[in-house]
Amino acid sequence: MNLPKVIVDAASRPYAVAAESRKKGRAPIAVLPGYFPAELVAAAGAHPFRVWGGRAATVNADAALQAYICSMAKSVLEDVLDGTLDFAAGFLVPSVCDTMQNLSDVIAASGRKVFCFRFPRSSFPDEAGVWLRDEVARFSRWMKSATGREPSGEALAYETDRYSAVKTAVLELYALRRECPQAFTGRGFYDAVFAAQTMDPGAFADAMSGCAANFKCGDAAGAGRRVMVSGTAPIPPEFLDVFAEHGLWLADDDFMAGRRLFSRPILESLGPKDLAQAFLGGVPCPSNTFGHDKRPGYLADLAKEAGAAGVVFWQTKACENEAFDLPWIDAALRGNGLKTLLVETEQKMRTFETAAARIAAFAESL
Amino acid sequence: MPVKLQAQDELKSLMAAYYLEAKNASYNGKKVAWVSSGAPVEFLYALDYVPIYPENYAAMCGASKQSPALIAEAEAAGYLPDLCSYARCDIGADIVQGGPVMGLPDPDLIVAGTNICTTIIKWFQQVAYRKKKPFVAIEMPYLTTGLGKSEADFVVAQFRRFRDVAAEVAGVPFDEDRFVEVVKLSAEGSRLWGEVLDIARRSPAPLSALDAFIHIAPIVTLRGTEKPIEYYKTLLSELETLSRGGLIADAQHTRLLWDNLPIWFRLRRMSEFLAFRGAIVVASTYTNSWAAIKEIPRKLDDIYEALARAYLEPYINRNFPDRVKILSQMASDFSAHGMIMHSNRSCKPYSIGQYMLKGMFTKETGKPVLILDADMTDPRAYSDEQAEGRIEAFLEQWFQ
Repeated sequence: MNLPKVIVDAASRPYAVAAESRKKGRAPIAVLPGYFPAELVAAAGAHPFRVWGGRAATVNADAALQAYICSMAKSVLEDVLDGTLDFAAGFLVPSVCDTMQNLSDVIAASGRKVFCFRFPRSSFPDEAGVWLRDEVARFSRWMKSATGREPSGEALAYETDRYSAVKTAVLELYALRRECPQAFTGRGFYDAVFAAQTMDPGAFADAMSGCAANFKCGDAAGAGRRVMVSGTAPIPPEFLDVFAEHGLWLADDDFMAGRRLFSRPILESLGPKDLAQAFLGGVPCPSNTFGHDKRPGYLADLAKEAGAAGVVFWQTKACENEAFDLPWIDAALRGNGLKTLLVETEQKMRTFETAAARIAAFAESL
Repeated sequence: MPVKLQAQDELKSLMAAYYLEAKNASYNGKKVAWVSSGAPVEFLYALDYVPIYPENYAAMCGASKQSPALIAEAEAAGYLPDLCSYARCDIGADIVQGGPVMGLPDPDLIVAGTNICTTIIKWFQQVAYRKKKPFVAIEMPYLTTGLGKSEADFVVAQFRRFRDVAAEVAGVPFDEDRFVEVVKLSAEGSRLWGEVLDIARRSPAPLSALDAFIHIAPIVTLRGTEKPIEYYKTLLSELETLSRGGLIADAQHTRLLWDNLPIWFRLRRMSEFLAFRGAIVVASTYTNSWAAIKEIPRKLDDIYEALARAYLEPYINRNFPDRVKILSQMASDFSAHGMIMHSNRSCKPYSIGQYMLKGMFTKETGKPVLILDADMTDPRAYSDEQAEGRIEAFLEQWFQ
């Protein structure tokens, strides 16, 4: 599938695109890995953009974090410490794991403006809802200090529409891929998914508006086998093309930076019910205690709907939230007749021979 | 050589009795709860549960050098080596029913608080799925900007829900009077534990913080009962005798702080290594995390809030500026010359940011810090030669 040039451009230079929001009077706010409703940031007149870290050598971050820390956290920190993200008016860190929680303090200690959003991992949704209301109020005050404006109900209604359009466009793309996975390269598909997390929502939805109507599956159908991928993020994206080289088609995913993110409910108001629904609802996720026990069933259904014969766990090394679920999810999926494969990845991976060999062997087993 | 305390024998008996009671709980008609070290155990003791601490068990497996085989079992079952070694150790122990007491008794309820880490939530989720038992997660928010009413209210609200769940699983009504008694015992035990730790302010210090890691077991596992109170009274008395009788033979030229959990499988060796070089660890951020409620309020609601505040305040749940204040205060209180920060690959909340904390601490106090790479229970992440060489070089600065 050929994506509009503006989408490919946004995926190739995300920070430059995010920085341009200043020209439109919107202060760029960097949102670190973990869920947070972008529409709430935008409702304060700011421009939220997702930061998943680059691929450059982590010189500064290596001096600040130990070797055993998750490479995604290190890459994000590198972009902060080397000044790449200095255009951001602030950093929003959802505390979805111990690493992100402490990273918020590391970034703050470097003199940047940071808000650590304390995501509740509680067994009690009503109490968590009240906490969310208070934490969002604190976040609003922080936004005012960072950008001069707080989110308002009226502005949120406007942003809800804009981000709903983004969600619709991305999920439409997922539906097309499920219908015709051979028409998408790994990199091409995730260019669009990442662009949706960087661009102005209106510009993204406009750019994608004609794509579905003009989509043609073409004659690419062949002997490939469908698989699904699960993990934190499709990084490094070019490596996903290795699947196609071995006759495997990515029919769907369960990436935190992918389907999981775009399956979350869009925040519709600042009321406690809507806040709880937006933050604690959505599809099962390793970082969320609510609905977590439904994860094996959800993944098995997702794979079935995608016609996938196997699931590849795309494990960012040292990501504890994902790794703790692996044995349990793996057993459940195998029990559902699905083949599984674990591929451990690093953000800065440059050589893929070992992982490629594992994928090749997996393809043969299918 | 560090002095071998007689109380240590009593400690062994105490812990043996504790695990024996736990192993026989179901025969005695008692419910077992697996709890994290920072969970509000007072509610469980008030309901006559036997609380079991998987973290403590992993520490025992580490100290008894049984952890490598257990960790291997967990890794063979699919748990990656990057995960917390306490978790891997306990999961392995559960698979093969191994470790010092041949595995832990199955739980009726599983409880975790996030005040020590969020890893515990993931770990205990796995336990709950394997055991098919109810799991209660209590969010104790990280204190990004201090402890306010909102944080305390949230935790109190969850405590009330937890109390009801625990009572339902136990099948008995919750007795608030009994609960108040348990809180009083917990506070008294914590107070005495604080006294034990504070005795190392003296010079020479009669107790090393590395030894305190061993003596911490009663306040972790039996907090809320009479037992830690009795034990710490005995220990204090012995330490007083040592201190006042001038019976501390070791020269203590260098007094150090320790950050993070200990290296359980090298605890004795590390203690002796330092003692032979005239150094002693006088305080640690970990052992000081159980000094809880100072005064018991009169009203029940206020007790809930005081308990919530106590559980929100462990060192590891504080932001970096607060951590530096605590470290600096400890350095002053214990007349420390410097600090060893254990960069513990299994404990991310303790370890992430240590490089920055090191700089902030040194800037604040002028005292040097050594960062030591290791793991609390996985010996594969540790080298005696490398660690001891680094410590030796670190200590030399006080002899020039």
